[in-house]
Amino acid sequence: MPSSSSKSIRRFALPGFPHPRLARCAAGGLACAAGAAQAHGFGQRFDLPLPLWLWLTGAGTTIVLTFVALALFARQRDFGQAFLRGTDLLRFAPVHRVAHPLAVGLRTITCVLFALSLATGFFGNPDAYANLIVTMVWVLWWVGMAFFCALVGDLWEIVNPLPALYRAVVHLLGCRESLGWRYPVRLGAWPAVALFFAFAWAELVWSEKDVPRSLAIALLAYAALSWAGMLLWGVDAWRRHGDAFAMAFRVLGRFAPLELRGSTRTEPARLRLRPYGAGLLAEEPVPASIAAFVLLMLATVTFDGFHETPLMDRIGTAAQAARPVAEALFALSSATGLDETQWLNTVVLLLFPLGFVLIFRLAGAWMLRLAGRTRDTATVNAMVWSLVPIAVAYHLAHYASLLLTTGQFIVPLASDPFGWGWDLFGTRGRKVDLGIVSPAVYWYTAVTLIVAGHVLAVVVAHIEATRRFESHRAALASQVPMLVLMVAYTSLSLWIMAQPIVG
Amino acid sequence: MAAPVTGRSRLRLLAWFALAPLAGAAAATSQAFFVEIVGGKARGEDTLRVHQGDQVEVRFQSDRPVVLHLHGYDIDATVTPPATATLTFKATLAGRFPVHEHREGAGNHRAVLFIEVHP
Repeated sequence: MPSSSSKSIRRFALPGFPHPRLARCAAGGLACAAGAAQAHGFGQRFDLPLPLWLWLTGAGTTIVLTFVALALFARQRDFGQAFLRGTDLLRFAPVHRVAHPLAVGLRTITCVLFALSLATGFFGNPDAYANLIVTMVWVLWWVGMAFFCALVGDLWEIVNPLPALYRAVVHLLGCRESLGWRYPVRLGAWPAVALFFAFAWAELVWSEKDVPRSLAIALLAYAALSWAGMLLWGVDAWRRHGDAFAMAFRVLGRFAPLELRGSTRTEPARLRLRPYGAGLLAEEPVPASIAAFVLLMLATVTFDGFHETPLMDRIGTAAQAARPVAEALFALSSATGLDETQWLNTVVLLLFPLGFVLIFRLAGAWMLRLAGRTRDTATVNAMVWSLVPIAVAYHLAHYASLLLTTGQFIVPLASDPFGWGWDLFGTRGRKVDLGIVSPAVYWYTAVTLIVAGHVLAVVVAHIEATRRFESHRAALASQVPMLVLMVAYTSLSLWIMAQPIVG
Repeated sequence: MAAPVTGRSRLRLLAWFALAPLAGAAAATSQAFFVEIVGGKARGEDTLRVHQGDQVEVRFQSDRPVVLHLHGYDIDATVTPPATATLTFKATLAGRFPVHEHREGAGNHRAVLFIEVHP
């Protein structure tokens, strides 16, 4: 009984859109989009695993280049110092003139998009692929903004609609910006850590992440929480300590070549051009909460890839086979709205950052021991930035195909954001071309990115070490644990890319 | 004069090796598979490997009625035992595509099998 068709497969529709099944999904409750929604926040990757030889080549190159870097560092103490220089772009009159109006324009656009996404979420079509909010939040904003922040500069700092809308309302009402409470120093950036974990959970475990209405409620709840934080402690204090996304994009933006910063009461706006990774050299002390935030980001990105691998699948099977674990999972799932798989994913998602922090602390202790120092947490914390290039490279490699394929949904959605059958720009019903990048191009780009990220990480760590340890010998010795950690982290990233997606 | 030429030809050779996987679909053939589904899972190997450009035919047999859906290619096959159902397509697009079972209700339905189309 063949019921297949193979006509015109050059241009495809991803599951559920725009396909006759769409109607059945909405009406009959068929779980047709569920398969597509298991992996990330939204959308599905069809990437082939890296071939074994390419994985081995990548890992081998990583190790060889690490030793080359070590040899260079050994000969020259100030290797890479030239790397630190930057250029102030606001010195140039045309840039100076354009910068402010451009920022205002972009901020207005994001405020409109924020309001539009909420409106489509609450009032639009309940189908994930027909409603703007799902693609906007998970693909364009989370993946797209992260790419932009890492590759160009922390644009989110400039266009974040939450402070912009808050300030606009305060301005309209003509009242004070905040109640002026002093932010408790002890809390550090821990609120942002907690919120980012909640976000990662929503992205990777939450079953309603692609239900437009639920996503809109979550978005509004986050906005309300942010506005409450701004009201209590002021806009800048909230952005520095509580706003998980301001923090996440700032971490990625440190890697970027453009340093973007809006003006505050105490500081003027900044627009500086610098080499990639230069912003990762910490000028200010890094509190433990910030170090934990960075490690949490790295861990969740790694978990995102890991939870689709056959190994995670086997962990799940083993958990179900071990009686006490299975009983605990069953008890948890009966007491809550989450099923056993979701609980298992939640536990592993929690263990990943804990493991990352533990391993990082151990490497830090080893580093201090080799360099002949004791209890210098500040130096260990500062080293956390040097891991960011590897995370950025893995993030780019992992999400590139998702952005390029699922991101295409924005073309039809622009014409019909609510899924009501509008055709504003004549692009409604435009299909997604899944063959936009060939796997070979994707493979080479991914491996090159990861190896380049690794090299940059090694260089950043070395410069940081020479700044923090007086003797050349101590600086060199301190790098051995960092290099071991980096090679392991890079190899793990490459290994995940070489695993077939089974999630 | 000889040395640079050798160097260049070696480079060219390296480039050819590097680009070899890009060539793809050089020898497109016809591929046929038979998959037995027991309890919603493929028996034995769960990944079928074909080359881009191949004409693929997958015949399914199942212990219960299932609607199978090949993601990416977006084609369905309905298996009604004891009859078999066939999924035929030309593998024009490279990637790893899951075949899911579609059934009533939400939840994590696992892939029945995967079809990898290699370049």
